[in-house]
Amino acid sequence: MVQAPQKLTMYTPAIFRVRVQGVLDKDWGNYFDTQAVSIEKDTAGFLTTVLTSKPVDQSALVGLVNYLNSLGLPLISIECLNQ
Amino acid sequence: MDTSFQAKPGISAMTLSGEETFPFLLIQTKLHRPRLNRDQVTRQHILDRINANLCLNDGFSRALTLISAPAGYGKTTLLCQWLEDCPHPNAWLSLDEDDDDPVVFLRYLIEAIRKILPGVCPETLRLLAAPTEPPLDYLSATLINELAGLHETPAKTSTPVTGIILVLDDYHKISNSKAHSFVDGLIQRLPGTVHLAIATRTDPPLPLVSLRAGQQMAEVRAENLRFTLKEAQLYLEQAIGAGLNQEMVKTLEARTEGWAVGLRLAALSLHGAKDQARFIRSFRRGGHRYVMGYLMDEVLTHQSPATQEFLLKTSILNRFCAPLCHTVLNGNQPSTSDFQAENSSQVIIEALDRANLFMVPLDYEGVWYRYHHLFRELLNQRLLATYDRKNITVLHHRAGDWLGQAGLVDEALHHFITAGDVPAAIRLIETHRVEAMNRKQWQQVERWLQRLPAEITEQHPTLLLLRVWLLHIQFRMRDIPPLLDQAQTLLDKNDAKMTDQTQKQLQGEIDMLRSQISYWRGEGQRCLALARRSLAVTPAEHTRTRGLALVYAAGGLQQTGNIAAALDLLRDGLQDTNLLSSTTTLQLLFGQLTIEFLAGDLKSVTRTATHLLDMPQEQAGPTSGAWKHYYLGRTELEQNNPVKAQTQFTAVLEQRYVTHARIVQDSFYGMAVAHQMLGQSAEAGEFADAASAYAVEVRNTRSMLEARSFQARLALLQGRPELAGQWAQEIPREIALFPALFIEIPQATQVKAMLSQKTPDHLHQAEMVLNRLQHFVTNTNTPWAMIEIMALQALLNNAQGNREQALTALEQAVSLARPGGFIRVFVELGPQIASMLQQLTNRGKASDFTEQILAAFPGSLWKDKITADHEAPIQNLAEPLTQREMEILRLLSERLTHKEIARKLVISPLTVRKHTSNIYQKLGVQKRAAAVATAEHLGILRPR
Repeated sequence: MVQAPQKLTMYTPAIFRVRVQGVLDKDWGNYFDTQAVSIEKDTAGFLTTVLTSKPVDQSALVGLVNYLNSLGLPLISIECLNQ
Repeated sequence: MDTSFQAKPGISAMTLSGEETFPFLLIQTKLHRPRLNRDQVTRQHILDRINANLCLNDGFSRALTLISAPAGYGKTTLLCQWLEDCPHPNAWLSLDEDDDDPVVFLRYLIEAIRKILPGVCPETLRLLAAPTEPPLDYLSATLINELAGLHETPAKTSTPVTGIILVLDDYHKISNSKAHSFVDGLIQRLPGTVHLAIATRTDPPLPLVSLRAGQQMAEVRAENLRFTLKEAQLYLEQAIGAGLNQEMVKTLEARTEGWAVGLRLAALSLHGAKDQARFIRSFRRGGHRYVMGYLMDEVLTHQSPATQEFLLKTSILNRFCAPLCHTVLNGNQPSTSDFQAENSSQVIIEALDRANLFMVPLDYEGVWYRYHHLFRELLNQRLLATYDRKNITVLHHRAGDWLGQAGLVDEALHHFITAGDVPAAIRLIETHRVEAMNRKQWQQVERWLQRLPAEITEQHPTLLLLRVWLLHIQFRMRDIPPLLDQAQTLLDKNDAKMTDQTQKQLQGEIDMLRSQISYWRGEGQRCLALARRSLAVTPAEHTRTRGLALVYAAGGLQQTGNIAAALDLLRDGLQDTNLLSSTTTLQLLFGQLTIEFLAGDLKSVTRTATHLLDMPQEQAGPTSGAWKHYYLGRTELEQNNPVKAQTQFTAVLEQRYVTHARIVQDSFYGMAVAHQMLGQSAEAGEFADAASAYAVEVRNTRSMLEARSFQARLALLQGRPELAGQWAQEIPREIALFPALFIEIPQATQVKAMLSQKTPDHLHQAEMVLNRLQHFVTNTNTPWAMIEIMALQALLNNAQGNREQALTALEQAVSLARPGGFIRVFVELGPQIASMLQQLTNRGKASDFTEQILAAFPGSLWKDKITADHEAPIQNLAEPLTQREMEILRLLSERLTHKEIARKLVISPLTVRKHTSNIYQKLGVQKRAAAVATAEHLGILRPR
């Protein structure tokens, strides 16, 4: 699904990897389109959830971040996987 | 300030909704679809896309259209273009932060729908007016039900409604998860006749994945919204003429990435630029913010200094009109003379509107506007960078003053609190609180208080007293006295430097609230004195306090033995036109009903309740029905008509989320007693359990204890005296004596439980409790309760072997009962009473009324009267089925398919499904077979 490198705009769909501290236990699958979810231990031994999105635009990405925030999961990082 | 001009926008922006008792003032401009700007490019390809996804054929094909794109992409404009030519009626709601409260949100949503379908969703609206917030699930179920019924019962419209569109603009302003789950539930169960359109900057936390998968949603995203080269060209030509060549357009389109607001700013800048080509060349590569900042500078520099100042300073306002802007800019300097002057706010607004400078008109009269959100944010940033904090505080202050005077209290409070001026905020609340109280706008009052920090509301007598009022309407009597003491101390200290008059008024409120507490403690003298003191100082326009003070003055008179004087006082009050409003009328009639009932005058109760029924609802108030049904139910119950009593109590329970918690509590007891009278023990037990559960739900500790007492009473009636005896030993001492107004009197139950044990020790205890109760009932003068007390004395005397005393006591009870026709009380006390009544008859001491009582005794405990006064099947559901649902249930039991039912009833299969799922929910089942079986078991359906 990875696309050729291109300039990111507000509307370009892109794949993002979002990492939050803690474990998602809600039925988030209905709320956000992901292609992969994994739970990993970070170096300090804390559990983190890593979500890999399908290609989404900025509104959807920010919506996801807001959603995770409302669930009380601290955001660690967001990476764009297109570049 | 030009006051003549000021009055108009205040009123047009904020009108009171039609019914008097709604807890909110509604800002009408939020419900207007914005007017389209003149320089629009019609986005036909997007509109086609939306419309293609929205075919209406026996219900909309999709539940939701989601328009999700960052700020400035033209979401609102697109919606406006779409609705302009849309054949379906549509309702518009622009959300803001206040709508985060689901109740506020829903209130606006209904008001928006009512703009196109006047008078619809009355049930949901009634629930929203309840003093405490009903469960959200229940609200949402009610709304969905009513929306589903729209096309069947076109309220006040001549043509049936085939489909309506609800628009929620700026949905990203909502952050409360409760509001989101409400919308979520709405989308999941939206009837096919309703389509929701949501515009938002970011994807909302709604189950978009499943909506997408189920093809329930059409989406328009930034990628669709961005201007194509062709559209950009068209737009720029319209805006600045044909002076641009293809290359220039291409550059602009590329630099702005088709971003609508960027193109708009570019057009505005170009319009004033001397060398357009140079401007475009200097327009370098950069992100949106850069483009925006750059273009903002360009646009602003083209404006006159006065306009620049205007734009920056008015950016503190959510919405504005010329007089408000004038005040924010100039303070209170008069403007009458230079009203039409070059730089007056009116002239600037008109010029900005003509120039399309990101102004969104909010009404059709051209009075209220707001800025485009993104534009306002940028202006606001610039304001903060340009002016120092002190200057900005002054602006907020002026805005608060103007808005407060225009009666826009919530917005005014926002500005005062932003300005850090708490005293001004308090003054504003003080100015508006009496009217809010008179209009029962309790939720609004609660919101005002929530805007202020707790340490401030605790230190100010007016605000603290408002807290007490909120407790008062929730009937949380135990929490009131300590707060009243605190309020009294603050009032006496008068740190807030109140005027004599204000102090007096507040004292009048404290006295009234104390009078109420005295009444419930059975201190009639004190109750009367306090109520009179309150009436002496409370001004006429304070109808809420005056009405209640009158009621408690009457209560004080009743408790001190002057029932006739009490009733006169209330009747005079009802004649006093100064007092009349739905709130006070209801209070006074409620007082009258209560006193008539306590006096044992059931004939008058029926007459007064019927009068209440005949009154127009605007006069009696929306919750009056429940009170009427409650007292009719009590009357039927006492007169031994259980089936009729159930009809009345069921009507109260239907309004359980709207009406007073106390009568809901009592109606559960009433239902249980009535079922027991009909020999339906299991159902009686269920209602007793429901009473316990309800007491927990409303967090009322007294009611919880009382409900346990009622369980003991029912155990006695059902032949389980051990359980009752156990209860009688342990619990009752925690329950204080309480004026005998309601169905369950714990001390009477305690006596019955003791009597059932029959040991000398128990009899002795029974005697002590009964004497104490008799003393209290005598002191609080509640004759109806004396009937039961005398009958209990008869039983006690009989058990102690004092036959003669027993018969005398019973004779007294009968003569007290006779005028009102009280029968239930004797029958409930069992066969022993019957045999004593028989003895009275044998001695020739009986009347025809004694015969009547004896005739009511069944061969067994209580005979099954179900067919005697039976018209419609009685429903034992907490939430009864509607007529339509009954109809469908019957057809379901005949094994008809949804389609067949739909054809038969001439409604859509979708609606049938809707009704069916409601039926299942109310019956607590999943399937048709179970629904039919349960309904038969409950007696709702006649078994086949």
